[in-house]
Amino acid sequence: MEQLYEILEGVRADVDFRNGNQKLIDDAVLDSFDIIAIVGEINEAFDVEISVEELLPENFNSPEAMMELIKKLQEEE
Amino acid sequence: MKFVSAIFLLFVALVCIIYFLTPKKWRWGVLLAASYAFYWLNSRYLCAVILVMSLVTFCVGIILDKKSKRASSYLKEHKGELSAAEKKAYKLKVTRSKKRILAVGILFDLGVLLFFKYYNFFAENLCSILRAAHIDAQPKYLSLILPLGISFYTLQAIAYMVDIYRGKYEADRKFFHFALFMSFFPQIVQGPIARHDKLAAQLYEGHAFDFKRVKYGCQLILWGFMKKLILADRLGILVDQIFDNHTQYQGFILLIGAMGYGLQVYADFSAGMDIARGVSQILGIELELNFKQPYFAKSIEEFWRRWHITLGAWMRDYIFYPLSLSKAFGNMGKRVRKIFGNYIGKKLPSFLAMFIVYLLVGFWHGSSWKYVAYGIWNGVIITSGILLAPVYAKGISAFRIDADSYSWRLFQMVRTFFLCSVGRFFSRADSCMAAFSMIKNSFTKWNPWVLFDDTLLTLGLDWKDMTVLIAMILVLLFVDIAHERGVRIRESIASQGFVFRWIVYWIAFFTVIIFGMYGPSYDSSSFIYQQF
Amino acid sequence: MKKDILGTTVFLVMTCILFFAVQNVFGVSNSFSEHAEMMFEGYYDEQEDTVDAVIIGNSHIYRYWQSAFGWKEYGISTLALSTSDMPGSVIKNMAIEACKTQNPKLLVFDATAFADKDNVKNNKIYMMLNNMKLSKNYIDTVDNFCAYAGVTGMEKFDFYLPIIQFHSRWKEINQTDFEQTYPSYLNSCYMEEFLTSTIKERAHKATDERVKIGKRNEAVLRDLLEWCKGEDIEIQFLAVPLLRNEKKLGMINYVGDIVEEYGYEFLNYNDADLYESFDFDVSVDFQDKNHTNVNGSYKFSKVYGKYLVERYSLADHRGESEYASWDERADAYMDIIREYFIY
Repeated sequence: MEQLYEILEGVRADVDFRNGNQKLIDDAVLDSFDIIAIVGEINEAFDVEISVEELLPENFNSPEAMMELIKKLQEEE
Repeated sequence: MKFVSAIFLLFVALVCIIYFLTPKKWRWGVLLAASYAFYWLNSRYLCAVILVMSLVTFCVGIILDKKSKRASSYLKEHKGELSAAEKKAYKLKVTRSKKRILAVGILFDLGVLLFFKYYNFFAENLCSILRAAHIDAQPKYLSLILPLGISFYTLQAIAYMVDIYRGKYEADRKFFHFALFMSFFPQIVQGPIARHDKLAAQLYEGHAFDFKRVKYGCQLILWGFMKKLILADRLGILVDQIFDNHTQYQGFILLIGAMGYGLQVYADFSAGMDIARGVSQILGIELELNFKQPYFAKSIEEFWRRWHITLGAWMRDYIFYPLSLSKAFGNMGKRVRKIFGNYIGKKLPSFLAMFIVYLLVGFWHGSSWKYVAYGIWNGVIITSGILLAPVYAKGISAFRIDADSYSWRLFQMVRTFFLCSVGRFFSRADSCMAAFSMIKNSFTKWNPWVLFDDTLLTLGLDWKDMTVLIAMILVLLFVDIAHERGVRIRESIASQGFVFRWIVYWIAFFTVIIFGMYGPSYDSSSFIYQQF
Repeated sequence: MKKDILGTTVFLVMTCILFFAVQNVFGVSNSFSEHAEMMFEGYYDEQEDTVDAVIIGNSHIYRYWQSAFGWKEYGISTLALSTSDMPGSVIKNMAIEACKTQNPKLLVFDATAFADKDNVKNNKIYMMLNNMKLSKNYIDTVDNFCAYAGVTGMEKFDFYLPIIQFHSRWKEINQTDFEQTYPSYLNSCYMEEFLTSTIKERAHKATDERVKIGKRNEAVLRDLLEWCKGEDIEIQFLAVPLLRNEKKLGMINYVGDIVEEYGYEFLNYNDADLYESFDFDVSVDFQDKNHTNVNGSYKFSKVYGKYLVERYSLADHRGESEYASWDERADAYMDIIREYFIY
């Protein structure tokens, strides 16, 4: 999880990912460039392959949701 | 049948009455009949185009759905029997065959769109290339009439097929349901571009009559009429005058033309959206928001997230994401990183994808090189904005600017509006060359006095029209500021006493009746008013 | 729910009222339309079932026949219902409108309204539409005019709701657009040029020729005549004396033949001997070749009024209590014209 936070903060230093309750996608905190950057980092760091099908708001609205997605993908491997 | 016309209102009224008189179970049928009637009235036999495209898209959806279901039940049945490698191979096989079906669907829908919208453009450019290669070729132009709304429902159809392919939702099982999703009349003309999972269920459900909703819907329609008839069409006179005779004008006048066109398009397009949303609201259907006070954007990129939102979202989901995440782009990123380092290497794939998106957005607007230039302009501005972000940051701290202050935000908004307006030269000018010469002229000729002498009153609007125009722009600005601050205007009007409410409605209604640009006295073909 | 329905109904009704009030303001205002407004207002305001004869048509009616003269001379109760260039295609509708508030013994129709080639660009229809009360007959009037003029589809809306045409007048709205009261002189003409204009000497040319009128005009004339068959009212078609060429007068004769074919009276004052009966002094009595002025109008009214009394035995209502206001209004009219009137 810590690794994920670091990635997120690396992409957007101005957002409080740890304590913020905002919905990252629905509230338009992250734009599509951020998403692509985050996906790229996650793919590398967790050795998964997030595909376009998984780019749904519900998968990226919070760090927890992202972690869940990562776990799901790791299990599928 | 024009959207902003008395006959359209009559049509809507008729549809609504029949809708609410029909048993709930069949109400969707009323919408389908109305949608095809609307299409027929506008495009006659071309409604065959939307029918065939609906049929093809529907079938592709069903086949994709069946393939996925068969695959997952196969995997379930043989859960213990297959090795991981076998599983993977099977999945790959299924994906490949699904991909082929999807490709057929997309190529068909896109082919129809390209044929109707771009055939002449391609023919002309192909021939000029051939001529450049000393091959004698004359383009065979076709006088094609664009089927109503084809640019919009083609995107809707593609989104539907791709979503099924991606397993986002299941395919529609009933063809007539699906045909309604493709042709729903309030949004067929100019969107918003709908997604099946958001809209379809609402269309099929029979909605009960709801007084408040009907009232709100009517108000939204009225607001649309105000923007279109009082603002957009009035401003259009001035804009047309400048752009149609652009060689006669210089400097600031040209800039005013471009800014005016930006406002005109906003008023015009968002009015269309308000009318579409208002009509739908009366019927109990919520359409997606397409505009979110775009001219309050602080950057061009943000502008495109507030302007024609459903087109931007479509481009993001079906062009930008797949491109940026594709293997080819990923590999390219890796290679570039070795040469230019991490920062650019990481950004480059998404930049390239974004550039393609804006090219497509430009090209989607129409079949001409000027739209391509329009797309490139937007792409260049956004790219430079992001690449220069560190430079800006330095500048901000050097001038001790508070980046959160109102004045800075205002500056950003004005800057964005200005950059947008420059882009408007491309989308409104007759040709790419005209756009370039207008831009050059407007930045090299210094003539601010035209703002003060009576030049502005020689552009087709006298001072009375100008006053109405400016008053309406201020009303629009006021409404946008209220929306931006989260005020729900219709709610707050509804909370007032009925006297105030009615007066507001009457003022709105009668300003449209009196100051609206409609009727034969505003047509050049009018003969009745001339005698008086 | 009940409250909503009630509120909405009241709101919509008030919106309609406001709408027609606004539409009224935006109607074209010039001396013709002001006069037309007086015609309709005056007609609608007249006490019910007090008018014995209604004379319907274009300016060939109101520049010739003055009800005020008719009242002064013979005590007959007549009203003109006529507007500038009233097209033949809607004269039937005007008759229907006339019979709504009055129960006349005699309807007189302007024969000259049909004696023309087809003219589909008659735009003074607004003289009527701006002033007619809303009713089914209003819609029929629009329909008949549009059918005649070949206006179809959406363009018809411009006629149902004249504001569609005229709202662009917002730039020229002034005080006169808001003023609504017009003098009631028993629908008699008081327009300035009617009072002041004269023409040079000009000969009247009687003719026996027959010149074909426009196909559409003939059709609407026959339609009117068919309608007359079903009404239990005396009918007369009147052609006032015009200083026009043989072609126009030939068309009037042609109209007369059709009228007589249906067995109705056709009274053509362009016949040489009938024309003589007025003893016109053209340079004094005519405003232009199409119209008498106030003096010629007096001569016409005297002769024609006498004819009406004799032929249709219209009653002399002078002194009857119901007609008290007729004296006042006729006197008011005489006051207005006095300084221009030489007879």
